[in-house]
Amino acid sequence: MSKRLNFILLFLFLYSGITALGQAPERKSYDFRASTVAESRDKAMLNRSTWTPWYARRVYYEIVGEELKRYAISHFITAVSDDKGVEDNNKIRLPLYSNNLVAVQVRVLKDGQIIANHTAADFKKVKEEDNEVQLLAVSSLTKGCMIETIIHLELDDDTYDTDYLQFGDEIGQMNFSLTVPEMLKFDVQLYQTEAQLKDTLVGGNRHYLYQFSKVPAYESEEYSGKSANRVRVEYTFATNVNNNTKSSKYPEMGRVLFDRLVGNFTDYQSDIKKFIRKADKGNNEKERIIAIEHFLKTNIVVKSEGRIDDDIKSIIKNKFCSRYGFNRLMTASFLAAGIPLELVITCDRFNKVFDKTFHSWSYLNNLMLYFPNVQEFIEPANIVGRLGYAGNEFLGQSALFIKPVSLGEQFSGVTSIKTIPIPSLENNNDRMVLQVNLMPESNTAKIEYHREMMNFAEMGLRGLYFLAGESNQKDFFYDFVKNTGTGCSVIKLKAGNYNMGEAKEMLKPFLLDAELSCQDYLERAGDNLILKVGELIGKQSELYEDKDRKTDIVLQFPHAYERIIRIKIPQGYQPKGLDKLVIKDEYADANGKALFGFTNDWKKEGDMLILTGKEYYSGIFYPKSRYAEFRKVINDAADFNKLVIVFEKMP
Amino acid sequence: MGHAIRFLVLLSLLSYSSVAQDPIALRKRFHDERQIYLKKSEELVFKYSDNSLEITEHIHEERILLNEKMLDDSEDEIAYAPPFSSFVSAEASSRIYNSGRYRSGSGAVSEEKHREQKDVFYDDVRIRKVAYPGLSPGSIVQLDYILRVHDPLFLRSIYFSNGPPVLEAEFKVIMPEGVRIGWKLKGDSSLVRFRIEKKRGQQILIWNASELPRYRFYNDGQSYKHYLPQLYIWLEAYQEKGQEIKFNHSLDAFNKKNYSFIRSAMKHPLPNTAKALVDSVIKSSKSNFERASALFKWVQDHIRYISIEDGYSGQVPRNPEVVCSNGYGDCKDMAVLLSRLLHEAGLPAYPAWIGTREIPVHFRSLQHLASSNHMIATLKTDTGLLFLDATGREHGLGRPSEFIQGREACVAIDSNTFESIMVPWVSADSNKWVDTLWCRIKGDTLVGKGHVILSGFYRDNITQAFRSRTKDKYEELMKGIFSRGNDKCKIINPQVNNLFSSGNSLNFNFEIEIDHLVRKIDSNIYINLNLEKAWQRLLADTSGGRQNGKEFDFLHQRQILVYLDLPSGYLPRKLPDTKIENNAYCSWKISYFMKGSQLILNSFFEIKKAEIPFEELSVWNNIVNRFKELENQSLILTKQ
Repeated sequence: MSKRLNFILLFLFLYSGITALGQAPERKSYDFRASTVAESRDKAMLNRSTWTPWYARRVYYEIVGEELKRYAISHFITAVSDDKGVEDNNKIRLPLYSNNLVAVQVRVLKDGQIIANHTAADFKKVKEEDNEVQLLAVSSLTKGCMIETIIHLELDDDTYDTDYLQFGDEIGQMNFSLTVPEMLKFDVQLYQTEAQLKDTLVGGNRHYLYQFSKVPAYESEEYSGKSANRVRVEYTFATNVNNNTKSSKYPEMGRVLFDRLVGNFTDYQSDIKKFIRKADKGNNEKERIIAIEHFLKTNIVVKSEGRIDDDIKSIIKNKFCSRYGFNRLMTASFLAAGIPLELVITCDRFNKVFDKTFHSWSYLNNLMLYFPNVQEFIEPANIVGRLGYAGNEFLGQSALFIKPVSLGEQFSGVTSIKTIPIPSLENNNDRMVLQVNLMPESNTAKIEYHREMMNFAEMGLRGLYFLAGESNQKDFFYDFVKNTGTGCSVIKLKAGNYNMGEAKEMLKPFLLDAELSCQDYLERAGDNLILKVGELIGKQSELYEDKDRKTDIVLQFPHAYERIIRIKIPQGYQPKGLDKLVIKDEYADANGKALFGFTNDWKKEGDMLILTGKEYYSGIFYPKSRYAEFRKVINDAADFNKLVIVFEKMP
Repeated sequence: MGHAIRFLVLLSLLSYSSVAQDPIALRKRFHDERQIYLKKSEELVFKYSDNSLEITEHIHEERILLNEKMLDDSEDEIAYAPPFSSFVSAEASSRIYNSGRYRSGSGAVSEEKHREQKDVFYDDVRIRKVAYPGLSPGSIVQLDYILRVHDPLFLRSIYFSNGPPVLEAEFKVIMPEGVRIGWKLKGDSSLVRFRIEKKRGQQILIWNASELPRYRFYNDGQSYKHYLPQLYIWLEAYQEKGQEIKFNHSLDAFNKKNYSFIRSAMKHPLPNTAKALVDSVIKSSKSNFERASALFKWVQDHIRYISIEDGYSGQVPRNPEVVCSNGYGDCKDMAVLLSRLLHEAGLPAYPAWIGTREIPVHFRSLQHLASSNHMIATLKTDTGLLFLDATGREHGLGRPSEFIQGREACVAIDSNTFESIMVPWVSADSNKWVDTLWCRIKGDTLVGKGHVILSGFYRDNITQAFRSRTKDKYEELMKGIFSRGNDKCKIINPQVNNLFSSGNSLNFNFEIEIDHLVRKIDSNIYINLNLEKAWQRLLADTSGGRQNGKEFDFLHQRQILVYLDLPSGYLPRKLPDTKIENNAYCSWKISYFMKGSQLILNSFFEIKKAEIPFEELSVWNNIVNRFKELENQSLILTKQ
């Protein structure tokens, strides 16, 4: 979104006397070095298919004519140990996106000898969607070889970026360098490592260099921050020392982004008003927001390719636009409707945690709209999402909140940095009520299934049900209500509160009611029946494998499950083995606030056996020190899956 | 608006066959569907231009969008494969539905792009996407496009349906005098009607079908090519400069045409290094079988499968020297290379074309290029022909790959001599999974040791799974394969023997603990020794009006033996009776018996036919359900 906005930085840059220094672009040469790389991998790495003894990432800016251009050279050396390593590396797929290929070279070495050498001429160019891809089938690659790749790209002209420096393979020696003309200063920050920056001036260029050895292979852990835990570097333009021009800080970035999204509002204000006129209805502001959002998300198709005219008037006419055009249209629609809002811009917390102290466009990737009067969010990019909490990938993340301020007929944006709120547990409940009737003569369990899911607990199912055609509803939701029951058939299925255009429905839990006939849950043991009661709640996640935990626990959202299973005891049978159904495993913080837990109990009422269970996770961040307890609760639920009730035939 | 323009607009609106379609009625009738085809038609036009034959395909499609949400049905795609065909032109338009009325809308055709295919590294098929702006539910999109066919031997097969219902499908072949074609219908052609018309000296062959139902796809079923109604067409003759050019579609001529694609690679002189290579590979081999095995293995080990579909190279193999030097190739590269190396070793080896199991026709019934999609090498031996598919990395000499069993191979002895031979099915007793568990009860856990022996395709597939993993993931793989009972099953210290040792069975040893499997209630212990529910993978999904049969990858036998040391003082209350079933598709036996203090379960299942026809699926499922009842039987051990 912010890429094109760099013209402002470049503008400042170009009109500050630098053009006098303009010169022909120097194509930086880069030498292969595989033959000098020694095999020095850790013993643990000997069992891996590949190992990367060397990775160098060199980003450099050059003045070309009156422009500042950005290039990157990536240099990998990969040692291939086995067949999988060969299969994984003998096909190179190089997507260019908006970058230009300057040079590429791939060579294969065995015992220090070059046995294959490929250049750009050997690559096949393929145009896919809106992207050019270069393909190479690498010759002569066998076990024991090293494959060495240098990719030299001209990147877009952004003055900031993120480079991840940790991958699936261990890296023996890692070098990251950023080279810029001497008059420019960049802010450079490394995350998830203690390595230190070296900053030097050489030959009219400023070099920022990180060198470190043994970057461990990245392994994603369950319930973790995922890529946010990888080693990465952020860089962004800071100062032009020639004229003391400084980079934008977040408040300025917010204003610029606001102008991009809402600029020239008066030019199309009346068109938008006309466009949303029929949709803008409701008894209060919340209902109006729901109606307008629904109208836009079901009448405009967002496309990712092709030439798309994102002019607001064209969008209204064509009914399709790019993601960016849709952001503009939605923002403008609520402004035109006179509904107070703020733009919220941040990034996915599973990619990186927003750093408030490092002012970079690279953190400003995702847009949401915040409605202060109802204190809820809209995520334009989420077609199946509706007004409510911020997307789970943004919860607890810092963000720019940009408030429109009226300047006559136009608007400007005032920015502050706030934390996106994490919703409370109570509003994210998944309630399941099952009425189970056992038919001993046919080994069948007839189940009346009822489910109520609200907010995050509905996991987008409401939208999915609404958007899928009836046949797709069957395909997906039949499987959903059957849980693990391969031998279940769905007699009847009915959903409720899924009409996303109706505010009244959207404010209530999504409902699923079904009648099931299942042969999976009932087994026989002589004359007795065994009900696999634990399987009725569906397959649960498990953390049975006991591994050292490396990172803190990060969840998608707070959520709770309430499960009530009412089993009619078949005549002539008595239930046995109920003691295992009593579980109480709950954990709290030092202040006694509940963190997470799993409980279950049972009671008998007449010929009904009633099980009541609860599982909950009240937060989204827990320190690594609580992992053992967290794991136990996850496994409690998985263990519950194995529980059975024996119905013994009475003599 | 002038009269002429008004007329044209009217004409253009009338050209929609759907003028009479009421979207509300259609929505009611097809409430399960997001879209249906109102019309799907194609004209294959042969005409003479400058004394040569010009072939064009004129495709017309009209879809009505019934989904209320309009999210991803508003696109079409045009596909063609240079140099066999090229794009000429396309026109896209729409009729936008709003409150019971239609107004005209537009459509935009994108620039040419490459198609992306998962299993093909480079695919030369090009696509153009078509977008229709401003659509609403009930809108109709219309796409007309023309493709030019450059090589008459590469006429594509035509599908009357690609899944959604089609109200009206029509295919025409329009040809002037002197042009003759052949054709054959395949798949579910029960609704297809054929007629011939003559108009202005042209012969018009017409196939049409109405009210084609929704065709669904099933993961365990035969390929869509077996049941979607489709038409194969081929050119038999045409006139050029006053002379009739004939295409001989006999099996012999078909083979000769195929041979022309591989002639260069078959005749290209092998370098001296090839001779040296062959000598070094077979130097310690004592028999022809060993020599062939060694060379087969060399190709399997040294040539990686990479599919590069680039124009005629999709038909023409690279010469063997290049394939060796690259270290990669596709099926025909490997087939030719292997045939040449075997020949160099003095062995009677020949390349062969084959249509895999997804193709619904054999060469002998249809001499069409679409009948073949694969190449292998073959070797003549005293005991018969061996089928060598080097794309299957793990198959030993003599065992074909799974997907060519039961298919016809066309073996090229030389440019004039061909043999057509059926690839046999590998017998079930060659593909065995024998799984033995010795166990005892410890609390609510079953603990013990396991031993598994895999042969045939089981061995090959599991070996391939090892090969595609890094060594530090082997243990994880074995845990995944041998876990049973529930997800708390621990496979401890798994060991594999004979891995990557060609020709030998794979065998595994491991310790096992399955927590939460044993239930002690009062003085009874409940346990189900059928720890793997085989019925789950055997049962065919027959929901949604299935039209295709169920397939297994190969015939096989699976034997499970469980030896349970009974806890002291416990005996089974009652052992279930032995049950046996034997029919044309499968056989099984489940029996329990006591031997000293051991309770033994012996469960055996054999798949005797790998293809269960659609008409037999309910019979099949009844068979499986009987097996399921037995697998769901727990035992009660009672304290004496």
